[in-house]
Amino acid sequence: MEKLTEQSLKPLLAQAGLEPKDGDLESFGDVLDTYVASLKALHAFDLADEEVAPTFNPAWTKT
Amino acid sequence: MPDKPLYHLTIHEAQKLVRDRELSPVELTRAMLQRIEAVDGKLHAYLNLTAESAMNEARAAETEILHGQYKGPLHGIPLAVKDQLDLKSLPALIRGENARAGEDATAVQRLRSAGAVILGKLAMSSLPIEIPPPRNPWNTDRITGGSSTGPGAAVAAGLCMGALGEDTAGSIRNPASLCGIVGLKPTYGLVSRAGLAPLSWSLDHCGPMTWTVEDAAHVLQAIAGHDSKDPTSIDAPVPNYSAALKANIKDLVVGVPRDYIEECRARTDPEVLTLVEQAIAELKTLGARVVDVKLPALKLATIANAVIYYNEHFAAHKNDAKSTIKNAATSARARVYLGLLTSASDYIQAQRLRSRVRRECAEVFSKVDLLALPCQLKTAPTFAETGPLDTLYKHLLPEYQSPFNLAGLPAISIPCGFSKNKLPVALQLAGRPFDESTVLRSAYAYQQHAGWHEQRPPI
Repeated sequence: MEKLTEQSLKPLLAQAGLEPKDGDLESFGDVLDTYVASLKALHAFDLADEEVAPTFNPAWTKT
Repeated sequence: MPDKPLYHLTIHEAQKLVRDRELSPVELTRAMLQRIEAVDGKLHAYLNLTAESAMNEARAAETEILHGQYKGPLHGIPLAVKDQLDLKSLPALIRGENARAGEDATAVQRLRSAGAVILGKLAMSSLPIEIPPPRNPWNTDRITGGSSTGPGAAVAAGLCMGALGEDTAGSIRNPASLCGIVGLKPTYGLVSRAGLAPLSWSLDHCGPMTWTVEDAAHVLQAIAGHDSKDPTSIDAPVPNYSAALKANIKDLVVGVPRDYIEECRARTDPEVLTLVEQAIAELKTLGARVVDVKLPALKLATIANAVIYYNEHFAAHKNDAKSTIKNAATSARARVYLGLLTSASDYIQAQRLRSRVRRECAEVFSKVDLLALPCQLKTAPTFAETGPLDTLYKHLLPEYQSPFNLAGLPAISIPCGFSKNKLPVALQLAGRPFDESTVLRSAYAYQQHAGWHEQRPPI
């Protein structure tokens, strides 16, 4: 696991009162690193002034 | 009587015989239970088989029909449901090792109201404990795909005539495509989530898994519609889906998101791409107009879906996190760490991406009626080729299913041929919100034309 992922995860585990199972952080290192890299890509995407809009635009459903 | 085993009848074929009193629901249910007994030892599709109550329900259906109280196409038809949906008094493994459901999920209640016979609960992946994984009826050395693993195997092998599955990141369409059946993820809000154990509240969709498109229309008809027990359920009229199948598709415009397919190409089996291209060409032969469309934000839709999934999942199951980390299966433990790693700003960014994807889809759907694209990256791998974290990796890199969970749009997996090693490949068609009629109509036209559903697995 990359140092940055580990540095992020350990305090979060402690804050949630959780102890990782022995060997988990090592064996899950790659998938956790892949996730963190994907999060970076998500934040790098330019969404301009896009809002959080959880409902369908009503006009859209008219076919 | 039919010239094939009763367990290979489609719902549509069986319902005509049941309606006309040429086939008893008792006889049909008994045939299905015998089939389960003969085959499920190899497939592991069922978690809980409720043979006794199924026979009682079949007898009740027979009596009702004999007394002229025919309820419709699902009356006396043996169906089953994924473990994620509650069945009253039965174990709900997804909710915990010792959990039992207090009542039926709304979708199950609706199947019962339509007269269906419930055979039991089907296996799924994403459970807190390890269970024998269901095997793919086309080749039992291979996986079914998840997370509706049991429904995929059971429908393909004729261990039920149809099933309810659940789809958070492709979990209906993935096993449907790998097992050569039809899987429909309806629009978010069309089918109640009440009594569905949550994986992710805003991404979970309950829908039909069947052998044919016609059968999916029958099951959807029974389960769709407003439910006050689900705060996200939409109060809108439910169209007649079976009636919609009768029209041709000559008036339809089908959009192909070529850029997105390119984005996934490196991870997609070339055989899958070839068969899907052939299927899209067949839609053209059937009279649809096919055009290329662009949906630039789709390239991040899979990861945005995963961010929302893991964060909502962690919130829903936070109280169990300690025991999950201590005792649960590998992928369940990994999902806790992924949920923990997701910050509020990640979640909000994913929701903003969701808005963008919906806006782009709305723009594209002002010009087209459907999107057509592959439904899987590869055909079913062998168990030996599969690792416990594969599903999590699938959720992190662009693929074909999650974008429609994120957008909440209806999407169907429909078989479109077989690979050289005789494994199913599927086309995916997605439509406007609440326009399941067009999705089903086009899938039905394709299925009738292509005829892949006439081939059954060798098991």
